Amino acid sequence: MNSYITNITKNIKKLLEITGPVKVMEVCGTHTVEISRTGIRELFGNQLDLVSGPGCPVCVTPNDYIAKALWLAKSGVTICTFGDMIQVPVNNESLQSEKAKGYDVQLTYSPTESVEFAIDNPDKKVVFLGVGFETTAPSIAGAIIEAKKKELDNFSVLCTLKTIPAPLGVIASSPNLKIQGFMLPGHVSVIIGVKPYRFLADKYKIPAVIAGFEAVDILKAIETILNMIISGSASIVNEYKRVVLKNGNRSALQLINDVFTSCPSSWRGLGILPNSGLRISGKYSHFDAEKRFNIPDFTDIEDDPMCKCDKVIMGIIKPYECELFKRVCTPQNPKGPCMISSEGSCAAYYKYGY
Amino acid sequence: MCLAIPGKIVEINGDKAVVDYGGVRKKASLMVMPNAKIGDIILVHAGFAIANVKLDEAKEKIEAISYLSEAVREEKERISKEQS
Amino acid sequence: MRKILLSHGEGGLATERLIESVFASKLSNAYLAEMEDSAIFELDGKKYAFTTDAFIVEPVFFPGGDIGKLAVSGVVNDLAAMGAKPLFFSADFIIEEGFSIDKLDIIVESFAKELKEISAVLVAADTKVVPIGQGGDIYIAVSAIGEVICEVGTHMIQSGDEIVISGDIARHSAAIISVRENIETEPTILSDCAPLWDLVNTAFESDAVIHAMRDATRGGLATILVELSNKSDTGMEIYQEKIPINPQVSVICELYGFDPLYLACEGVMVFFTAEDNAEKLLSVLKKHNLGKNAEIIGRVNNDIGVILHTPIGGKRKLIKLEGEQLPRIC
Repeated sequence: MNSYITNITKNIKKLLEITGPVKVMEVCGTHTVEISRTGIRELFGNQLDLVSGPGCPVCVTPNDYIAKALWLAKSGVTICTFGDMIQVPVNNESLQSEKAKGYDVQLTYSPTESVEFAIDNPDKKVVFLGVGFETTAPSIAGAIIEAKKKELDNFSVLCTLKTIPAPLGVIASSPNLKIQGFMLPGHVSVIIGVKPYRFLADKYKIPAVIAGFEAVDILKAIETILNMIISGSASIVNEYKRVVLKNGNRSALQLINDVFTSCPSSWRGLGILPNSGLRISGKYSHFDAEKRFNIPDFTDIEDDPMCKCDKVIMGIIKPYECELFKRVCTPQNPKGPCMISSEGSCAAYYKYGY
Repeated sequence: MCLAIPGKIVEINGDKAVVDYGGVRKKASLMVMPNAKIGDIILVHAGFAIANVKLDEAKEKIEAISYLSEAVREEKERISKEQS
Repeated sequence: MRKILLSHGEGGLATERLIESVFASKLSNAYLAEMEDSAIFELDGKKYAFTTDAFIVEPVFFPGGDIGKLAVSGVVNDLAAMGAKPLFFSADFIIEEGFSIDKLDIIVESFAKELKEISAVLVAADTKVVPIGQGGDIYIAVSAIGEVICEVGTHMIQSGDEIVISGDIARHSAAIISVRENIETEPTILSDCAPLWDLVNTAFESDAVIHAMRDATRGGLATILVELSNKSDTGMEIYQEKIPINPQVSVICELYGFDPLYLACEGVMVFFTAEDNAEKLLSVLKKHNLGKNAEIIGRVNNDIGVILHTPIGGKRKLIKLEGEQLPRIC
């Protein structure tokens, strides 16, 4: 075992003796998976409470978006989507179950592939499910620009992109959550840089660290957060310097601002937050599926009343504190988004939970 | 939230690059990495290059990183030779 | 109005639930209840193993093999896992209208070559053709009988046993993914698909005491370890750093967000040896061309469930593959 890692682990245990039990939120779903997959969650017992945050696109995507995607699939449109989305159920239907009935659902690794699919199949109307955060926004913008360059008439995006700072504000300001430190999403930060998180330290005095996704990155971030808690100082520390620059990726931000416009967005568990989403701007409205198809309104679809995903997303409860967890709600029979996405905290606890 | 892994640019044509992830090659767009050049190590997410990977962090931290690709490992060895 | 989903075919929990709800209730008996890789029965004082399997792979030609070689390997390995030397085979070829006969020729050629190499005999065969568009080029269903040379079985797994794997994991799935997603790899990732009877026979000739074996196919290494742990009512400790995996294969897993422990192998046998017998088995396996990457990956204990020890000293519980693994971005 690597000595650098063992030293950090020993040091974290020492720091936890000084701080006592600490509650840290890892915002990003990929961190949630890596924390479980590498066994970090078990290393520090209940001294370190690692709470999953809203950073999993499938978890926070509201029902009406899925219902729109299902409506499009049933009206003969070819849906191109990342694998993450196809198991999300609404009224016991999902893209996976519709695919089994013969509707055209294509899995893709990148948005550009869905444009290539539209070019290769001119007779098909293709809609790409534009899901994700600031990290994925450039690749979706790029696909729209390529489709415009090629004057494609059979390609559009059903966009539900989200931006991360807004929900962090809600979580930081919530009285009953008492988050003592944030582990910030490394790859979102590659795009937006360090500045957008300043308010967490300045306004709410909560230490926050931008972390990578290797075990050593996550451990280093925990150590830095604990040091800040002990010294009583709160600032935003970039521990992922090998890829995150202070100002992020300027040309990615320009591309995002060119193709998208900030807008209110609805988050499962958080409701509608201003300036927390991105919609396709007027210049590219020809590639906005909401404008190309008159999709009915599905906002009245309720979550399963027993499903507590909204509380899990907010870090108010742990997956195993939800009655459905493991009894009714399993990856095979998911009741809510946190169990569906392999990034969701319930799926991570179910799959890797010790 | 965003799976992204590092690889080395081995070919560039227009704003498309061929990226080598240690013996596995895949195309990636350089649309938001305008001054990327062959030999650069970049971070790719959903077929899009989003950042350069700099390996000049503290030597022992880099040692501890379970890098995946040969391309990056060679770079890591070159860096640790320089630093020692 | 429940429908069959792709995840029902992945060999994980979805498959198991389908079997329980539709098949077991109507067909269950003592042989099937064993749920081993092959059924064991006795004839004139001799023990035999009998098994059946169907092969659906897309594409039918992939680096390192084709559906012909895969069909023989899969069934040979199911017999070998029960300590049986493959003897007599039957095969059904279900071919799609429009499939190229030259390709069919190559597939049957490699099917025959694999049988010849283990001197087994095809005693019954059948071909059917389905209309164009209703069958994936060609499907092959194979059954086979073998003579039990060494008695092994899940019931013999006990605390203290050591766990040895014969080769690196997930290489078959990675080879298929690299072709399907046309990813260029250097060197090309070859499927590990291979009949393992010769390797298993060599293991028997060594004086290592072997309690049980299972070939890690659909659902991957994790799924079979959990299955065997449940069936033998034992716990297992597995050391992640000891599990051999080809670097290009782990890169493909990272690219698509797959966990290699759940991806199919088609030429990897997991051995459960008596205590302090693993080293003996390992040295024998390493001398065989299909066992060069063999490793001791863990031990059996009296706890509950399969615990994976991660490289940083963490622990995590392994569970069975649920549905299918999908490429993901987050």
